[in-house]
Amino acid sequence: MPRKKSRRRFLHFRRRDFIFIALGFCIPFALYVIYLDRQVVAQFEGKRFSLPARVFARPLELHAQKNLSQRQLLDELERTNYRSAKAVQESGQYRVDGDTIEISTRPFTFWDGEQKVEHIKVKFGHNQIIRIVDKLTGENKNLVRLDPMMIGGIFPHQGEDRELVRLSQVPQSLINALIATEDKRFYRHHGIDPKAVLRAITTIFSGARIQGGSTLTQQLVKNFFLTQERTVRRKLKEMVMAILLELHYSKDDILETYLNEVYFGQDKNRAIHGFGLASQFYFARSIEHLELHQAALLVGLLKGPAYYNPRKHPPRAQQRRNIVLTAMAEQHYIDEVELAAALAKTTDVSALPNRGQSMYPAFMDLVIRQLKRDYKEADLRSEGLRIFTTLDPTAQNIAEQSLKTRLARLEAARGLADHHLQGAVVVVNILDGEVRAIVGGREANFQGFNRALDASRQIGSLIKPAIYLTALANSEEFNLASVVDDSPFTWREPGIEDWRPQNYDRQFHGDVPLWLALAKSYNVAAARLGTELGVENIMAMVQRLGVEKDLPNFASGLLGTMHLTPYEVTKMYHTIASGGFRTPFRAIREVTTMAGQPLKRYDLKVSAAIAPTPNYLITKGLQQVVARGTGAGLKRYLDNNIIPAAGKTGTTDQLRDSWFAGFTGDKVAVVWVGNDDNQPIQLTGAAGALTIWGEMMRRLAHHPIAMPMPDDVTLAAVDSSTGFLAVKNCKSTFDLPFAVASLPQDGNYCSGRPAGRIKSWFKNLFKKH
Amino acid sequence: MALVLVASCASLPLPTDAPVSANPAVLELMDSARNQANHGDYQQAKSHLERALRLEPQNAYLWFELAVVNRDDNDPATARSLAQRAQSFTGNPSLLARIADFIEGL
Repeated sequence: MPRKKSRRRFLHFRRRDFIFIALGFCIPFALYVIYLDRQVVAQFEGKRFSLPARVFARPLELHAQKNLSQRQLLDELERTNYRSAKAVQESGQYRVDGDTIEISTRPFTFWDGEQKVEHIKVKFGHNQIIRIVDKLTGENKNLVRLDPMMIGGIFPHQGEDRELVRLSQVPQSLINALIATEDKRFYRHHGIDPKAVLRAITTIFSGARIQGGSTLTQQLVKNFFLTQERTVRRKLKEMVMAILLELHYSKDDILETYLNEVYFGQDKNRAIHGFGLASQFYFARSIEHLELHQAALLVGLLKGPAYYNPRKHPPRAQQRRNIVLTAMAEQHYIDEVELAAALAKTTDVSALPNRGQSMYPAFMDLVIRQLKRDYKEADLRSEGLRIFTTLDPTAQNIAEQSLKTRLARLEAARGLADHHLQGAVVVVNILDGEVRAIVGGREANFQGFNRALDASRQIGSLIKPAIYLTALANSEEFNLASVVDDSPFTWREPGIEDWRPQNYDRQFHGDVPLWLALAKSYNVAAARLGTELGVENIMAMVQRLGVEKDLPNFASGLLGTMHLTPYEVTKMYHTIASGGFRTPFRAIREVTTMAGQPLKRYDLKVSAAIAPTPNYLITKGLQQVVARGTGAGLKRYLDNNIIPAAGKTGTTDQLRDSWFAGFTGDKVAVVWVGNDDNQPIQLTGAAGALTIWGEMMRRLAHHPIAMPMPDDVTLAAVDSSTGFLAVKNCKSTFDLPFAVASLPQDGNYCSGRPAGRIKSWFKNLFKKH
Repeated sequence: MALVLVASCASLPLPTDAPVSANPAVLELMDSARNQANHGDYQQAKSHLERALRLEPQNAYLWFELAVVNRDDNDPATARSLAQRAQSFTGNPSLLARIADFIEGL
């Protein structure tokens, strides 16, 4: 009896215990499941993929009479991944036929509207577009805008990059390949696959690591919500969450999210995510155009994107792809013929797109700085904004190459150590201040110190136009032929050591005409004139020209001891180049949302800074620098009769910096060469930077300088040997412009040559307005 | 040629005696810009005029038209500067007079 009693008590105890235990486990477990459910729903609903901002170069506009060679258009088509085809049948293809290029353009949404697909034939002659004809109608087209080159992205902090796709865009063969390989029963299970779970449990008891057996839903849960650790607890959590996810969402929702989430490998700092970007990254085509063997390769990659990297390990990738294809055949997604055809293909991957974070880090740096004024960084990195910039890839590539090759040659010629020299280039469009190219150093693809924007260096003689411009603004006192004094000069200021400026040739040149002092870059004449005009007035002029920083009023500043960056110097020369109008530089034209909705536009703004007459005169003075002065070396690169450039050399103490700043009719460019540790480089502006400027400008197309001559300006002759206004002998002369008020009132001078007059008379006759 | 005629007869501030440009692409862009400005879409109008200016940077008519759009968009300061820029590119007395009137009226 006692035994029985005790046994009953025992049983009683066990039942009660069981209930307690059950309650003890189940209630918390139920609560836990509710908690997980909330979490799954909240996170899945709230989960939006962070999409990087996409940054585009300027689009190429095609129209008749445009100065564009056939080669240049082909370069642009190659850069933007157009494919050469024997017959142009679909959008994105082109064909060359003699002097004509046939193109079927890709559709693109610009800030100001849609560019539809155009099937056109572009005919060339003499490095110009002769006409553009619509292939279908045979009619002339006035204007066609090509889709722009993507030059980079602004990525989320983990560097995740992706292009979202809709399930409807994804070829069925890809979905079949995925299901055949990763989750055969995807459409039948409820988040977990019981068979696979059983398999997993046996592995637990056998002591092996937990692996495999994950459905697509579980994989998605794991990527979305969980860490990568492999424990029983985490596995259970994953299963519960997978079931919950399936309770709330359709198979299509889950599949679409999966396709956009998965990881496909690394491209430098950029992580490739989702099948949309993977098709672009590995096959340079959109997901709709993937072929069977390509889809299978991508699916195969999921198992280990690094291990099966098709660019690094083609045999492995191909083997893995073939496993996928075979699985598809076994499960009757493809027949034997399709299988054999796909197995026979190579891996077929495209060349590694030279894209990464950006091909043009120095320009991108400027874009991001300008964007940060108007956008939160988090938005730039996650909202998928589309940024339309002003970069001209042709000019950028030429600028990069010119700097790189010339620096290497200069080092070799001067016996300088390898990589002793560094440099920077800025190219800006005169019309609207659009930045066309920025080179931040000789390794232009390397994201390092951006010398174009951040290297503040002494500017030397680049300041001189500000001195002579200040003089010429007073037309009662000064003209281009005014006498300036280049004899020994001492500047005394209390508390400062006496200053005795020297010329580069260690000579003094006595009385010289103003234009010649500028052209030959005489230091003593400039220093004396500058002190006479007032150092503070000269510094104010530098600021009026667009330099925004404070400049100290030291007399030595007249020889350019202030530090400016190449970008700041470009602003100065841009104002002169654009007729005395200051124009804020822009690297960005527009910003739209991912869907193409306009967000912001950066308008063209100008403000009058320098009166037209002195600005015209200093421009002609800067043309004399190139025609007869320190910039004469440019003739080796540009024909002064065809492209009469204006510019100024700059050299600093002990040959530490070599500068050239100048412009043609449509572009202003500044080149700096120096050493990062400020060591001497043995190069004057003319020997160094000028050669890079010339090399670069020679390879770019230009408009000639065509600054309209103001009404109060006339041409008069100067004596070829002295450079002063010709008074008696009017024969050996050349013409310079003068403000009428600055010429002798008695009319005792030689007026400009009649030839010039007739020419301009003819010009006026044929002028349109 | 037809386009030239259309453009030169179009409304807005320009003289009717001279074609704005011989380049049909410029005329096409200018036409769009005028339509947009007439509908109060100044941002789009500016965008189209800037595209036209990139094709013909020294076209005084285009600079002036951009000035007009900026005035209509309540930015008289920019309108004035752009009009001055237009002045610097023309010797045509009737256009110069129009621009002077425009600046006066700002």
